[in-house]
Amino acid sequence: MEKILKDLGISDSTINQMVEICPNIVELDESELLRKIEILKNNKCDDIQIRNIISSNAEYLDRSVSDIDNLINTMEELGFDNLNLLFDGNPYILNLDDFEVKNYIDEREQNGEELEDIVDDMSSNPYIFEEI
Amino acid sequence: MEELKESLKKMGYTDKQIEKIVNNHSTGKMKPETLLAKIKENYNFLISLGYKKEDIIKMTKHLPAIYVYTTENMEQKISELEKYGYAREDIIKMTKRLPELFSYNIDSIKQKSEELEKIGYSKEDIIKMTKNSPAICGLALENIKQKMEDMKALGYSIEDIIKITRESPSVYCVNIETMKQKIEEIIKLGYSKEEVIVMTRHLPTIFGYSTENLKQKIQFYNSIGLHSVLIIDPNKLMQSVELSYARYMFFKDRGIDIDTQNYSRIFKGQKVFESQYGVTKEELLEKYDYKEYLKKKSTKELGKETIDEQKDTSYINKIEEVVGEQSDKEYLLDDK
Repeated sequence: MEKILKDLGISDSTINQMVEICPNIVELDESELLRKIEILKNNKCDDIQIRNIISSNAEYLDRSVSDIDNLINTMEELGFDNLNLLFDGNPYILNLDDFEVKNYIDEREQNGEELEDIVDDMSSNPYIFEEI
Repeated sequence: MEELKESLKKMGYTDKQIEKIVNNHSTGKMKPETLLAKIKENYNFLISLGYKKEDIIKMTKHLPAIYVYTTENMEQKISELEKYGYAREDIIKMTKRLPELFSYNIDSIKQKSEELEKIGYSKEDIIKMTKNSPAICGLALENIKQKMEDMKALGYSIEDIIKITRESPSVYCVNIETMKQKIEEIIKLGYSKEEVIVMTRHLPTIFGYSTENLKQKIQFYNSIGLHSVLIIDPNKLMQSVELSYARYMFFKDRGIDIDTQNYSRIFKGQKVFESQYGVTKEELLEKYDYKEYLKKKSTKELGKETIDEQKDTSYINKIEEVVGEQSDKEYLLDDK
């Protein structure tokens, strides 16, 4: 695992911090790690963005593929695009579940906002995802 | 035993994981046939609750003892947490990350919560914090209080600490030395300690950003003269540099210099930007390709982006990037 992370440009010091935040990652198979990297690549993340996301959010590596796929599919259905930019700006979005994003948006729609405007607001201010 | 191992293999466990399950101090005490029956019962129970196969393998890989718990106890724990205020979906999510939650005593959780309310958190805060960072449920109250004292020693007020941990609860799970190291890393990028305290107060998630990530973002904004903006408006770090670069270059091409007075232009909502300037995000990103710009700069290695002055863009003086050296605070702007 360490070799793959270092190949991404992640320093030893950052790897240690990643393990501190999410000790489970030491048990990750190489194939699991590569699978998580592949998901980001499939969403047009380049090497720098992949490095930024993984090094800042080790918990992403511990999430199940199905939960991540569900989140991404839901976000795309809701109208979010350029997910690589969104995740690079706020890597912690990837820790959310699909139902959390849906519930948050449903609540704002019930308050009278249009979906398109909500998605635009969240895309433009990735910090909003921290409120979920 | 062979039948048990074969069944676990069919379920998707690796040989190493199977050994961990059969030799665990909880599951290892059971007869293989009894354990196999229990595994099937609990597996089906977890599926009925909404967990996926992948989740169950991950949870039981980490905590094989789940296969020893009774389904009644697990259902009761979920009910107790629901009565306390968690939504069922949230409990499922929390237990995926912290399967030990099934073994925690609800009275201990309530008691800790009451103590945290005395400190200044609301019950809603506590539910949200533990939902986002379930590991907090397992922290001793003394450890939480000690972390608060350690953060006070760094220069944060109690109100700051409550705000920071409310927004970024994983701070409680990180060693104070790691937090100090993060502060030092940001200082090396050209900020004073007081400025870093202000930045982290406004955007606690900075504590989670890796050095590599912070360096790339801060150095970019330094290079376009927005060093000081990040002190009062660190949320801007959450816009991808790729988009910021594209918008910066868009304005530059139109003779508009972005500075500390008008920087909000590059952070406008996309809808507003598009209606004001008639250009989509895709068009911007295609025309002003940040990756192409990086290729033109001399780079030593991924994660270390040296800055060259370029004739047609306003860039700052070179920043010393030697690890361990304090960055010179010479983020000089072109006089425009």
